[in-house]
Amino acid sequence: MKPLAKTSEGYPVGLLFSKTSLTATVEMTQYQASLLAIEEINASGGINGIPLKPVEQDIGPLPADYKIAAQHLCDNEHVQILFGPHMSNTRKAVLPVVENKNALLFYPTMYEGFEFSTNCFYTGAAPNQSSVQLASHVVNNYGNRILFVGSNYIFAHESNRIMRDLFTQTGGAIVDEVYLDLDSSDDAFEDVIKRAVALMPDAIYSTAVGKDTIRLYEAFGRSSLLRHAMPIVSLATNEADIALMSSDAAEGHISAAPYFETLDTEQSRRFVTRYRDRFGENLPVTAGAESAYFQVHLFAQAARKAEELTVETLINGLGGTSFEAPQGRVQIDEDSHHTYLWPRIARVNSASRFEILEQEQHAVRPFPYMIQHNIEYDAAQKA
Amino acid sequence: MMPPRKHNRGSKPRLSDLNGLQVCLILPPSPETQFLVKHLQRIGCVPVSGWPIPTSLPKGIDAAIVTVEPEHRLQIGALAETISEVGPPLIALVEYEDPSTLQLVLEIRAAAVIGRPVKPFGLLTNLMIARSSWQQRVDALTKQNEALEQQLAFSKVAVAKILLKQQDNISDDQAHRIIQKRAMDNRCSLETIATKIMSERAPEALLRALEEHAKQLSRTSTNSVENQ
Repeated sequence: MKPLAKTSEGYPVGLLFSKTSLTATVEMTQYQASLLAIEEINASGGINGIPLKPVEQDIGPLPADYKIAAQHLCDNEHVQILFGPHMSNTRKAVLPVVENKNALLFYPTMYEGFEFSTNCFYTGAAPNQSSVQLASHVVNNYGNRILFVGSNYIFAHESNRIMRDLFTQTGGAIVDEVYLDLDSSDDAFEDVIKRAVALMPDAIYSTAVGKDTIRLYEAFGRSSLLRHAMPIVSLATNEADIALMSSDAAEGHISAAPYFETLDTEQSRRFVTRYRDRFGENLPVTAGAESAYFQVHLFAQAARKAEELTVETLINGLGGTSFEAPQGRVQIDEDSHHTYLWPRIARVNSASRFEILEQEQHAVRPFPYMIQHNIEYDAAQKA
Repeated sequence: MMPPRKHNRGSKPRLSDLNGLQVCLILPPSPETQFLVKHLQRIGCVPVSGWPIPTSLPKGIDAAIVTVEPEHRLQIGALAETISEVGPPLIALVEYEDPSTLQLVLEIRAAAVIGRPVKPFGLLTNLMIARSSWQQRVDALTKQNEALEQQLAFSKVAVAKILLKQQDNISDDQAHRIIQKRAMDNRCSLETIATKIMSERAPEALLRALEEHAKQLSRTSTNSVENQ
């Protein structure tokens, strides 16, 4: 077992976020939150006296670009610890490199589940930590006739499968299921909204990400749907997306995530203040950023405790590690390499801010391989 | 419907069967596809391009490797629909292991699965397994059809015997010997003579009814093979 690679500047850690991808705006928040955590760790003595040295690459928009970057960081920059990326197809592109180089990847984004790698830790929400909560909120407040709109890629298909299950369990119906290419035109989203006007569902479940989200919500904002209590509900729409929308387009829609920047706790306020002091006033802070932030701290904690610092001792040490994160105390589940998180539901208000409506009373255990989700069962589990 | 490979009909699959196998690659052009082409050539197979996703498999294909991703769900599903029970086996190439992908793997009735990223190790094994389970399917179907043919042939003989017995007032044994003798004299099968006797002695309506009955039997039997 080789000790973790170290240069004269400290332990090099790689950041895998793109400034040009479809989801560049939220990736920017994850990138900055990772930097913030690295700086905090270094300010308090690094890893037993040795600082972390962030290393990055300009990454293009495609999965292959992330792979090339990961390869470069591992081969030429002595990186063994990587933080990122955002979309599932980019994670899939990077993971073989990580496994091949015996590196360690920390993935800070909500995704569709059904994955495990010895060399990866997942700190965003698994479907049982977001979908179930969102579906019950929608059923209890709006109804169960749902229109699915999403991008034609893995997350949308699998997330829709789960949501279809949940809504039909309550006797509801999926009135239609529309898949658009990633990075679709405004016209394509206009057509989707026309479909919604024709079908008048109780809610629209969106799996659009990044720029596509803005186009969908703006098309909604220009339509007659604005007068109806029909929200777009999503697991992906976040503060960085809302910041780029008109308030007409944003207001009234619902998101589920373990963290919103408006969460009013001491840890959350401190995190947002530090983030903005460091990178700029009024910048959006997202759930992805919060995961990116606490996962660096989880890594540092495990690293500080390791007697001999190697990838193997880190993997063993990370299981069970916990941290007082902005969302609440989070803990890595040793079996699944996923994280106990605090699901929350929020609604965008007229000032384009998320107002938290519901939250779990305990951190929810991750079940990334759960095939059949159940609204009633989960409600019972809470109690 | 593809005829079974003649040199290996009904026998145990052999590794040498892989030699010269035409493998259709229903995969978008990429370094990974290039890699697969090279490796298939290395193990003695003949890779055949299958992109964009065709509406039916090219002629003469022995197996196909097909990308299974939700984005292409409709085209892949439509292609799989055109492949008969004894058509070339499909090997699914998958990147995700979530239920929506697994569902698609089931729907196309994949005979084997390869995971991404593609490694040289495992391809040979999966081709073998796919070919072998396909061979088993073909063998089972062939056996079933032969049994069915025999059963129908037997029933034609039985009908001819009944005609002889009733019309000529003879015993079952005598009727059987008459058919046997005519078959030997004419150097043809019992079934051929039985068909002849039936056309000589039975009204056309009865023959048509028997024909129809035979067809129905054969349909039921094919379905029962497909449902296995």
